[in-house]
Amino acid sequence: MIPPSQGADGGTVAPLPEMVEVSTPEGARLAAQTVDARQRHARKLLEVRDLSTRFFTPGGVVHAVDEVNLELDYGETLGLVGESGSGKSVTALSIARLVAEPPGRIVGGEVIFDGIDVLGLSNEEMRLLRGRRIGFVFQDPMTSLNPTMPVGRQIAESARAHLGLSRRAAAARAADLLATVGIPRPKDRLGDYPHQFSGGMRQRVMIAIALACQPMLLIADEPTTALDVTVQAQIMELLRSLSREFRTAIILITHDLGIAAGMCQRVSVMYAGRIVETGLVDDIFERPRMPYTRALLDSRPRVDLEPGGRLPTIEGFPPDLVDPDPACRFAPRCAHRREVCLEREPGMTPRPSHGEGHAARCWATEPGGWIP
Amino acid sequence: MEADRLEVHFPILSAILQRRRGSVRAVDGVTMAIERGETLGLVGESGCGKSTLGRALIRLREPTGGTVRFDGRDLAPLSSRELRRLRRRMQIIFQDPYGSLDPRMTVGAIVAEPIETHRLASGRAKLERVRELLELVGLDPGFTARYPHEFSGGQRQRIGVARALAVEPEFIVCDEPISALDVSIQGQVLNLLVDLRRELGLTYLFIAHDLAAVRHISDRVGVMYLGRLVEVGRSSAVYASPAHPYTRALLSAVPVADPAVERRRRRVILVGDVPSPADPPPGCRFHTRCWLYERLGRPAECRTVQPELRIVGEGQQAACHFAETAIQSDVGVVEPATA
Repeated sequence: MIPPSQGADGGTVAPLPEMVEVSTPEGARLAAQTVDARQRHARKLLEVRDLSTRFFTPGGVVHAVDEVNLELDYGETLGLVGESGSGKSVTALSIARLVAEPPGRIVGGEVIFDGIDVLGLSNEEMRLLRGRRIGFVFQDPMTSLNPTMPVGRQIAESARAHLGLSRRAAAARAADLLATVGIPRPKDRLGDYPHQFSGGMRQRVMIAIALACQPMLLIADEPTTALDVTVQAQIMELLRSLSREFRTAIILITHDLGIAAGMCQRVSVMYAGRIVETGLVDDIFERPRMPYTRALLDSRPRVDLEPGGRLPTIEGFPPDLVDPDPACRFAPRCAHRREVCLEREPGMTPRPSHGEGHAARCWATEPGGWIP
Repeated sequence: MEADRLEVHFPILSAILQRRRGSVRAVDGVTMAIERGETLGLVGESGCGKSTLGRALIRLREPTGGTVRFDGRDLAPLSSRELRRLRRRMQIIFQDPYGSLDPRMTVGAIVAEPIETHRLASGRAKLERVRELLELVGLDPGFTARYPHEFSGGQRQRIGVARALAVEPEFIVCDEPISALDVSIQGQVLNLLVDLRRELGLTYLFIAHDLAAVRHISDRVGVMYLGRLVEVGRSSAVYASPAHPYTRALLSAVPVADPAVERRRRRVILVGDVPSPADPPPGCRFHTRCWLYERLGRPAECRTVQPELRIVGEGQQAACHFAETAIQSDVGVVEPATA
């Protein structure tokens, strides 16, 4: 098990000095920067400011992520909700600087992770930061696991590379981690290959690898989309317990509002490269201030309700993100649109009367707008 | 559509000598009926046999045992010609709107193909029919010269529906028709299927792992586990008071887009994975993962006697020795939100 400790900010985080290898110049700089920053303010684990990522393709410049703002507290679970192509995965990849370049490039903005200016780091420093602080879990474990290497070695290598553990200590740690993620008879399974695990068990192995270095942030990108609902429930329960026990902060990327409802403290909704609404989970679900969020909620049948006739649908398709118009990106599909929506894009404005930290991007729900 | 003790077993062959080593019992003794004009939903985890059952009903898979009757006629003794004629009345819509359309054919050719195969129309009448079908599924009839790659996932699924409707079928197997689509598009396709059912008097077998979508569209619902039907009944009954512990576990695992409901729910998290259908557990196949079996102190009956479907309520059957206890439990059922 990973021993947690109390951080300066009150949240439980892994101990700092041992976290970064100070033996290398990059590591020393990273460590110094971290401590400094945390003494200065460090209220948030992650602050993303006006982050923009574009893809330079033969068909034009795709504005995949456009001036995105996000905040994440230590130990908090944030849901990043949206449909395919909304930019939620690219946002997560950009935070960890994993966007393939070319064709992609982060063209603007700031990412401050635990006080560190992520976009200003060298590639080597970034590699260290990723290895030590940020774990990734992707939708399809089969493409992110090495099919030719026993899973025990994959977990141990990650622990050895980033924590500098001995071979024996790393192997023991791999077994511990498999136990932590709920794999039965962990010691017996260290020598098994990924294909010898079921889909749900493979996803657990992925999570074990991500946890190998006690990350402060786990980015889970549609971790259960390929899994059956009963297995999905198991994985979600596992993520909940990790968040509880180790205070690991989680960015949970999902298209499933139900998952966000059950897992997250706060939710940010993305549409066409933009964050269009953000707030506490109850406020987002009970009183959304962006018609897209409302429409998403209404367009899914619910398993707990008697069906009530036709489903309300969102007609049309998301817009092309090559040089988008300076208008509300949802306006062409919005039932509440007016002239202004097609002429000017609304900004993310706070909606304090609808909950703490609630903000939305919509002319209709602005004060004096036509949706009260 | 009726099935009686339907079985589809796939042989497992040894790698070198191709000798039969055993069999995967994908569908193992399923008895069910679908009334004309109704929609039967079929749910279960992947590998439970729901797709194989759907294919066996319309003879895309040869059953290895049991009988299938369509409109009162046993399909087994029919000649291939007779079967082909009957097959016109049964169609299937596939999950993958990307893989199920030939990328080298135009949309017009894709939708026209079944019309030609069954010699339903030709020349101008055929073209007219294709345009009519595209309009019926909500596509621009001017799209006939385009190729599948020019369409979005939702539109492609509409093309698949148009192709299925081309031969004026009465019964359609919808095999995970919306699971590859985005949330906002799923609703559009569900509505289309509901509209077509009303306009054309269609009968559906709606196969999906999405229990919310199944509740929305189905009059009755069947729950499969490891090749067996473990519960079947009117949707309102099965969702409100599930009588099989597996149904309750499944329902409790479905996330609900309401944080207040999510906090209140009583979840049963099933342990482990579905056992292999090549070697299903003895007795009740679910007993190895059953929460009720544990709660009742592991009764021997569950391990030794395979439960059959029996009536447990009005319009509701379940295959569990302790269905009466399961139905009383509060596990898995979501209390309706109080206003």
